Amino acid sequence: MKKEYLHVYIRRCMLVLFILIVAMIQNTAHMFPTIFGARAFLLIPVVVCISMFEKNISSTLYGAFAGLLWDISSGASSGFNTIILLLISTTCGFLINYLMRNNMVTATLLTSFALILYNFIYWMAFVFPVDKEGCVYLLLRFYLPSCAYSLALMPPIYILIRHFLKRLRRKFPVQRRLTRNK
Amino acid sequence: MRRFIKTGWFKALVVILVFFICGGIAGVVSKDKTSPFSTAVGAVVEPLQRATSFVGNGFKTLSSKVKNFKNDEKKIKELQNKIDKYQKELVEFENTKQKVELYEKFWDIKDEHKDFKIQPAIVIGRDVANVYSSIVINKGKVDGVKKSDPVICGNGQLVGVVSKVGGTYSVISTIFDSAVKISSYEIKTRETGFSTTTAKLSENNLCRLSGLNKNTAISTGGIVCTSGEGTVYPRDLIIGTVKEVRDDKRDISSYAIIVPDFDISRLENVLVVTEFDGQGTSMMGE
Repeated sequence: MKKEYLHVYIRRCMLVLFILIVAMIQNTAHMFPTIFGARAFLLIPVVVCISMFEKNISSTLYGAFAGLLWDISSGASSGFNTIILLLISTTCGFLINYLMRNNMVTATLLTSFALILYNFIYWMAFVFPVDKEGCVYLLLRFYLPSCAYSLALMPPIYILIRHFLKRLRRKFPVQRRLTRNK
Repeated sequence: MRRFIKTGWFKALVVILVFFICGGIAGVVSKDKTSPFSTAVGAVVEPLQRATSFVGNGFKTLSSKVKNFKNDEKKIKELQNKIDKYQKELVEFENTKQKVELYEKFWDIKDEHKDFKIQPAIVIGRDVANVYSSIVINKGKVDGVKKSDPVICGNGQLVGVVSKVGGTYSVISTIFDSAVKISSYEIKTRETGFSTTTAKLSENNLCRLSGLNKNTAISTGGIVCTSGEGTVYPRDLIIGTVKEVRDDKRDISSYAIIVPDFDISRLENVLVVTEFDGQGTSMMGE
């Protein structure tokens, strides 16, 4: 196996594995603590952070994969999480590749945007039509605190992914240009 | 010789000798056969002896400890291994006990409802975004589970309904989901209504029996069961016990607060009723 491909394979395998582990933690009861009833939507910061370091297409695929895993345990309409996470990851990928800088501030901004978007759409689609009486209470008592809780978990995730990709690049340097010239 | 006898050293020696001889004679004469000198010296030396013997014993114990150290270590390891083995056996025993209990309940339910075809399942996950705690079980289409199949726990208590079925897994909307509405009745008064919940009630693991008359006879302690209407749920599955009856502010009806007899956060095993007499079409959005 060529060394330049090895980098890509390890990177992809590790990121897929990371998404898989996070999905398991998120979707298994008692695996991750709830704080005053607020739950951590771990897959959203993970998808945002991964797409910040990936190319457009691959970031879209990572988002779709994370969404698929979420959909398995979700009572919501099939594909809801896949579509939303796919859109989030694609948008983040594009923004980072063409408009924004890749740093912690940007990661915070994008994650907050993604969390609010996801929770608002979920609330509008699945909570508001069913429970008009308690929907505002749920928004304030559950969905917004969960957004804040998930956002608080973003920095370690971002640092972890950045650190891993940096180390990987150092160990297996990508020689894209050289390969092209050949 | 004379000189020697006259020396002070010799005189001192004689005095000391005489002194000791007298002491010896006194010792022989005395009842307890000890000279006053040995008693005096003994009084001084005895604590010292005790201290030295203590130190000596200490050394003895230490040396024996050092000698036995290796043996003790072996024994500790053996005992630790035994403890580990017993702990494993205990865990296995507890698991088997739980399984037996579950199967006992399962057979009780089978005896009670002969028309039920039941599929035992394990809770493997939950939907983090669903505030009403929908759960995921390890049985799906392959095991004969269909959408809208009722789900109960070991004590015959209704847990919810299958809202989504995958090949090897299913998602259950519990009775704490406000989207789940169950036609139900109170067994003493036979008053009917529908069981549902609200966001605030669901937070405290409570449901409500809505649509009761203003002057309802339902009182605290009454048991609410499924009525079997709508053909999604079989008749007489327990939903919970009435905690209190309140007037509905929105209209002229009343409603009862129901306390279900299971803890959703501790639910590990459930039973999916895949077939029962009168099972029909779904109410869950179909």
